[in-house]
Amino acid sequence: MIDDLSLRSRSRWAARICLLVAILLPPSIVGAWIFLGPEALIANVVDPAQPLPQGMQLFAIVAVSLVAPVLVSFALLSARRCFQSFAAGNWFDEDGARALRRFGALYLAASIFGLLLPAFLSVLVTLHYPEGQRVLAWGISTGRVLSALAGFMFWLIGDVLVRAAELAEDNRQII
Amino acid sequence: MAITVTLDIVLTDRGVTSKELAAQIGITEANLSLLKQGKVKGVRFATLEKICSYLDCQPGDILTFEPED
Repeated sequence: MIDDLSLRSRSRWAARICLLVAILLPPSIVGAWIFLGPEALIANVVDPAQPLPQGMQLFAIVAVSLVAPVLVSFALLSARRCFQSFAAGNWFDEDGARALRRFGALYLAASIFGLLLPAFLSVLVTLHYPEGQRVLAWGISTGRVLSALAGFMFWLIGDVLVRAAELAEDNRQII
Repeated sequence: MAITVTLDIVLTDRGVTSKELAAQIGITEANLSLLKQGKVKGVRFATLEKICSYLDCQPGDILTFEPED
């Protein structure tokens, strides 16, 4: 038998961690761009003989690289809501279940975008190159595919929990 | 709803209060009130049995079916 108090306490901690990571993730990406500089972050993509992207092009690269972290941040805020619901002892709360479902959907979206990110970045980074030297590169990694699968599974589990919450509500109305 | 709860009529006939019935059958007065108003999705056989046993009536005395137009 799982101890309720322990589960609620762990959920409370999970909610705090989700909030912390959700807040820190996008600024840390921007910080990396500012402090390390574009040359360090896109060194493996650029041709050393070509000038680095500047102005709007650089802004677009940073913006595109922020999409997945921002989606993950929103996903974590949804996860936080779900854990807050568990921390309050609401195991079959419909809001909490919907939050878990939203977490899964956003995490899946972030993972799919992450799969496409190398292609977007390679085009953006080499946009100012002379014709014939621009690059469209795409790669697939096991980590990204497994993340997408995990997002899909959380989405599905969220759907099942929503159904369970509806059934629990029905049962509450049977006396 | 097509099923109407007529428990309040039986309670009046028997001279039994809601508080007394709730205490006897082991449910809260709030739930008994919801049942009397028909604001529940169902009644367990066990609850129905206790009500009928205490009020000495049949399920049909407290639940009636009225076809909807």
